[in-house]
Amino acid sequence: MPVIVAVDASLSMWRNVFEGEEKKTTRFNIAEECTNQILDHVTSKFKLESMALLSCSSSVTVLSDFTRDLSMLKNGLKALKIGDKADFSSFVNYLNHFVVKTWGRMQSCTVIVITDGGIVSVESLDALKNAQTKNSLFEFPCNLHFLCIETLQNLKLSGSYYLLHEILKINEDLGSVVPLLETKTPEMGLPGMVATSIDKFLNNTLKTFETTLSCGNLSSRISIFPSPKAQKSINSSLEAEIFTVKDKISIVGFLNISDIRNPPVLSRHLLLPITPTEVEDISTHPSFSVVLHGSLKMESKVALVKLATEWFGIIYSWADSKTKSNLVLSILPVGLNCIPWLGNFNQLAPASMWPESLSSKKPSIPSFPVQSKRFMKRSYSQPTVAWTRATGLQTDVQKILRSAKKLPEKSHVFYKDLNRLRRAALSFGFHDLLDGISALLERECTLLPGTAHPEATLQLSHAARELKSTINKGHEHTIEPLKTDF
Amino acid sequence: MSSFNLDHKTVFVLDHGPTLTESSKQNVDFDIFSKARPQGVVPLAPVSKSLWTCCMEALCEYSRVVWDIFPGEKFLRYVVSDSTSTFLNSWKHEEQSMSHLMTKLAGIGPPLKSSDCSVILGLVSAVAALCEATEIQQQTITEHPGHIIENSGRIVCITQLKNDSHRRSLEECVAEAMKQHNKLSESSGILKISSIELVLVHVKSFGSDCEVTELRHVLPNHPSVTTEVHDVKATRHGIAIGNRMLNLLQKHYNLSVTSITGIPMKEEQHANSSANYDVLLMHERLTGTMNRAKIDVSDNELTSSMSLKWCTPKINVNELYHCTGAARISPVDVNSRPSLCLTNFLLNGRSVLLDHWQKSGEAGGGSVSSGSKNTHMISCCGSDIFLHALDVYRVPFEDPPSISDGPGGRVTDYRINDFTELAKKAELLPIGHRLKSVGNEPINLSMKLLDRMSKQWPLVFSKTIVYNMKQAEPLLQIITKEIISDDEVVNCQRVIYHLISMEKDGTALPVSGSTTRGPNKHKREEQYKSMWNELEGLLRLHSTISANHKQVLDCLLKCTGKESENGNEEKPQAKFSNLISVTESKELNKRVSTKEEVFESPESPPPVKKMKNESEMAIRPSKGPCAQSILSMWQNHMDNQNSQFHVEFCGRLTSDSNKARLYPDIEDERGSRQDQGKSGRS
Repeated sequence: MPVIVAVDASLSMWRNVFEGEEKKTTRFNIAEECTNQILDHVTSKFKLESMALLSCSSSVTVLSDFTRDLSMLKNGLKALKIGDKADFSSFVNYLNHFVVKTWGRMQSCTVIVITDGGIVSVESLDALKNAQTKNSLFEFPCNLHFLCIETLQNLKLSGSYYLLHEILKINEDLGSVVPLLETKTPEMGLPGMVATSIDKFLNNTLKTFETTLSCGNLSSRISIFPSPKAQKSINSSLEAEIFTVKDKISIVGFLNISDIRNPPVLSRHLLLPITPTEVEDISTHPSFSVVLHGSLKMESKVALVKLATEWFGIIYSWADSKTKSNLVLSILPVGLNCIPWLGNFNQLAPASMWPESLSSKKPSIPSFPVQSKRFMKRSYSQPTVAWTRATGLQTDVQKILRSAKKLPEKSHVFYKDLNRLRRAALSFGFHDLLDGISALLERECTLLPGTAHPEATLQLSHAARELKSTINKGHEHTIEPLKTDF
Repeated sequence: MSSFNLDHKTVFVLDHGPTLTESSKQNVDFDIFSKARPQGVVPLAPVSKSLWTCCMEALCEYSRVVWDIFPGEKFLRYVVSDSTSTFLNSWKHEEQSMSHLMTKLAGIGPPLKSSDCSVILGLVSAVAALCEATEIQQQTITEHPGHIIENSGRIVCITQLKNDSHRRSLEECVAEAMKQHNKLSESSGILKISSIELVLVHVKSFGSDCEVTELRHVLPNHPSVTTEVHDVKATRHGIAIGNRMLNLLQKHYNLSVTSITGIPMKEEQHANSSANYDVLLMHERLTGTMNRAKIDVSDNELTSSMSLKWCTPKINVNELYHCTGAARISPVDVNSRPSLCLTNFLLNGRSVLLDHWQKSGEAGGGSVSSGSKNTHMISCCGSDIFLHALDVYRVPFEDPPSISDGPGGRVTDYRINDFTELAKKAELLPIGHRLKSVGNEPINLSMKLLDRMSKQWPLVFSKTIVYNMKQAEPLLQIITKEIISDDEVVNCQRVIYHLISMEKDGTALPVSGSTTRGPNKHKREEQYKSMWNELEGLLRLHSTISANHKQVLDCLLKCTGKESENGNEEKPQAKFSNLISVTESKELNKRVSTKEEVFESPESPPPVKKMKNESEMAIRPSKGPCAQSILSMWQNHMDNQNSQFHVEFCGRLTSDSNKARLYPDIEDERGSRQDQGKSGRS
C-alpha cells in the first residue's frame, strides 16, 4: 500500500538530541536521516510501492508527490525546511485531500510521521474529536505510525505519549507509537541507535505478504501486493470479528466474468509467483500461477478463492497495458451472501455435478444471476400505484379513458386498469375519487360518437354504476365486464 | 452482544381518528385532457383528498422505497390506532410487501368519526411490536444462544397533535410503555428494548394554524428515548406530506439521491426524435463516497447529491470492471415515463456506463481525478437494479511486470487447454439447493472435485507422456471420476491392454522433444518404462477413491508384473475349482467366448493376455532393456501366441479384485424371491 512519510518541521525539532554531547545533533538532522533510511528500504524492497513525502508545521508542504522514483523522493527531501509550529488537525485535513485525490477512499495507506512527539497538541486533539462528520480520523483506511525521536520515558513525562495514543484511538487503533531513542546511549552511538530502531520498525511493519495459492493438489507460492488488510465483519449482526487472509488460500471453483457481473470489492492485489530458492533458472521452472493465468485469460473466467471462513475473493487476468497481463486478486466483502446475484457461496456447486438425467429432461440448469428470492418484486418491475404527485393519479385516469374510448375491443385492459384504480382508492381511503371517476365515465358515455359500438355505452354505464355501488364490497371484489349479447 | 441498527425495525402508528378525516383543503384535478378539449365539455370538479389519503399515499411511497432498497433486511410494521389498535402486518418476510399493505389498508378504510379515538393505544402496541424479534433477529438468537441482542427501533407516528403538551404526553406514554416492557422482558421471553426513536409527524390541512414546535431531543427522564417532531402542512394536494416522508426516509436510512441525466428517450409524439431526460434515484450510500454530513428534512422535493451522465450502454460482458460499491436503487417517481423507460431498459438485461457530471464551478471535495473514465455503472443483476461505483483512481500496483517476465513465465508448453477443461468441470453454478443427498455445504463438492482431478497433474507437456497420448485419454477421463461404473473399469482395462500391445508393436511414444523414430529401441524401452511408471503413479493416487479405482490399478499392476496389493493371495483359479464343477466351467467358457467377441470393438486391438505366472513377466522390459535374449524374445512370442487361444473370463474382467461372482442374476432373483416370500408371509 502507498506509503506517506511526513516529517514534523515544527521549531521544536531544532532542539539537540543530547545536550551534553560534544557533537551536536538536532532532531531535525535525525529526522532527515530516518527519512533517507525509510526511502532506501522501501524503494529497494518494494519496487512497486508508491511513496510521497510531506513536511508539516502550521501548513503542509509536499516535498514529493506519490512516485516510485527514489531520486525524485531524495530531491524532495533536500527541500525539507524547518517551519513554525505543528498543527496536527490541519495535517489530517490536508492528508485526507492529498490521499483521496490520488487513491480514492478505498485504498489503505501507511502514514509514517517522524516527530519529536510534540506534533499533537491538546487543541488539535479536541478539534479532531469534535469533527462530527467523520466516523474515523481519515477518509481512507490508514495505518498511522509515529516515529518519535525521543525516549519512551520522556514521551510519557511530557504527555505526548497519551496524546498520540488518543489519536490512534480515533484511528481505530490502527498504527503505533515508536520511540526511537533509548535512555542509555549504546556503544554504536546515536545514529546507530536510531538506525536500529528504524530497521526494526520497518521489518515489523512493512512486510511482503506471502501465501500459498492452491487448486486441489496444484499450488504455487505467491506474494500478495499490496498486503491484504484484515477486515471486520460488517454485515454480521454479531460482534465484529476480525478476518485475515490465511497462509493458504484455495480455489474453490471457476465462474464466467459475464456471470459475476462486476461485483463490488474491497481491494485488489497483484499476485506474484515466488520461485523456490533452490531453482536455478526461474523463468523456465513451470509455475502453476502461469497456467492459471493463461487459462483464465483465454476463457474470460475468474477463479473463486476462499480466503478465510466465510470470506472469498476472485482471481482473474488483468492487464495494465495491451501486452502486460497479470494475475490479480480482488477481495470481496466478508460474508457468504455479499454478492446478491451470486447467491450464497456455500450453495455453489460444480456444473459437472448436475445429474445428466436431469439436464436432458429439464434443459434449464439454474444459472446466474440468482434471481432475488427476496419475497416480492421490486416496485419498478410490477405495476405500482404512486399518487403523491398529481401526475401519478392523472396518468392512471388517462389510461382508463384511453381504453374507454376503444370499447369493447379494449374491454380487458379497461376493466383491469379500472379495478387497479378502484383498489388503490380503497387502500388510500380515497372514496371521493371513485364517485369522481364514476361521473367521468358517465360523461364519456354521453361523448361517444354515433359510430361507436352500442356495447361501449352499456359497458361504460355499467362500470360507472359498479364503481359507486361496490365501495363497501372490499378490496378483493372485482368489477366484471357486463355480459352482453353482442 | 449482537447489535441491530435503529433502522432494522420501524413501526408506523397511524392515527385513524376523526382529525384525519378532514380534507386537506387541496384539490386534485383528475379530469385533465391530454389533447384538445372537445367543445362544450366542462371538466369535472376536482376531488379533494382527506389528510388520511395524503398520509397513506406518502406512507406507501416510504414503504415502497424501503422494500426496494433493503429487501429482507429492514422491517416495517403498521398499527392503526382508533378506539382500538390493530396491526396490519407482522415482522414476517411475507407480510413485508406493498400488496400486503395495500390490501390491509383497504380493509381498514377511511378514519373513524367517533370521538374516543387516540394514538396512545397504537403507541403502546408499537412498543410491544419492537419487543418481538424479526426473523433475522430470531435466527441470530437461535444460532448464537446466550448472545444478548441489542434491540432498538423507530416509531413513526402520523397524527395531528393538539399542542406541545399533547406531544409530551405521547412521549411519556412511549417511555413508560418501554419501561414496563423491559421490566417484563426479564421474566418472559420477549426482547429488551435498548433505545427508541419516536418520530411524530404532525399533519394538518392547508390553512390550519395548529402549530407545534419542530424539535429533536432526548427525553430528560428517559435517555434511551429520542423524540423528533415534524410539522407538515398538506399543501399542493398532499405532495408536502409525501416529500416530507421521502426526506425522512433519506435521513432514516442514510440514503443518497442521485440523478441520472441525459437519458436519450424517444418522444411519444415525435417518434423519430429523441430528447434527453433525467431520472432521480434513491439508493444506499455507495462505499468510497463521502458521507453527507447532514440531511435537512424539509417539505421540498428531494435534491440529488450527485449527477451521473448517461454515457454508453455498450459494454463488453467479458470485461471485469473494478467496482468499489454497489447499491440497490429505487426511482423516486416510479411511474414517470423517464423512470419507466430507464428501469425497463435495464430490466431487459442492459447495463449502462455513467460519468460523474459536475456543473462548472461546482467542484466538490470528492472531485474525480480522471475525467475520461466512467465512474459508475447501472445494471440489473437478478431482478434488482444496482448502481455500481467504478474505481477511477490510481491502481496501487500500476505498470507491474508482466507475468511472463516472472517465474515460469518463459515456459512454453503449459497444459493450458487441459487446465481449461478442468476449470470447466469445476465451473460453479447456484445449484446447491437442488442437488440431492449433499451435506450442508455444496461448495465442498467443488473442492473435492478439484482435489480429485489434480491428484497427478503435470504442468507442462514435457513432464508427461501419458497426457500426450490420445490412446490413454479414456482412462484419464474415467479415473478422475468419483464413482466409476463396472463398464468404465472395463474401458480402463482395455486402454491398459492397448498400451501393452502398443509396446509390443514398438509404437513410438509421443514424448515431447524426442525425435526417436524407427529402431531406436533402447530409447523407446526407456520411454515405455517411464510411461508405465507415470501411469502406475497416477492410478495409485486414485486407487483409494473406490474399489473400482483400485481395480484399475490392480489391472495395471498385474499387466506390468507387479502383484496386486489388495493382500489377496488366493489365486482366482483356486476359487473357481471350489465353486464350480468342471462341466459348469466349460459351459461358462463357451458363453464367455461368445460374449468376448462382442466385447472386442474393431478399433481396439485384441487384449494381450494378462500373465498368469512369473515366467510370463519376461515380456515387460522392466528388468532392463538388455535382459532380453533372442531365446526369451522367441519364448515371449510363443507365449503371446498361445495366450491368444485363451480367453479371459469376462466375469473376472468386470469383477472386484479378481474375484468373480458367479450367476449373479440367479442369486439376485433368488434373493428377491426370498424377500418377496418374507414380505408375503409377514
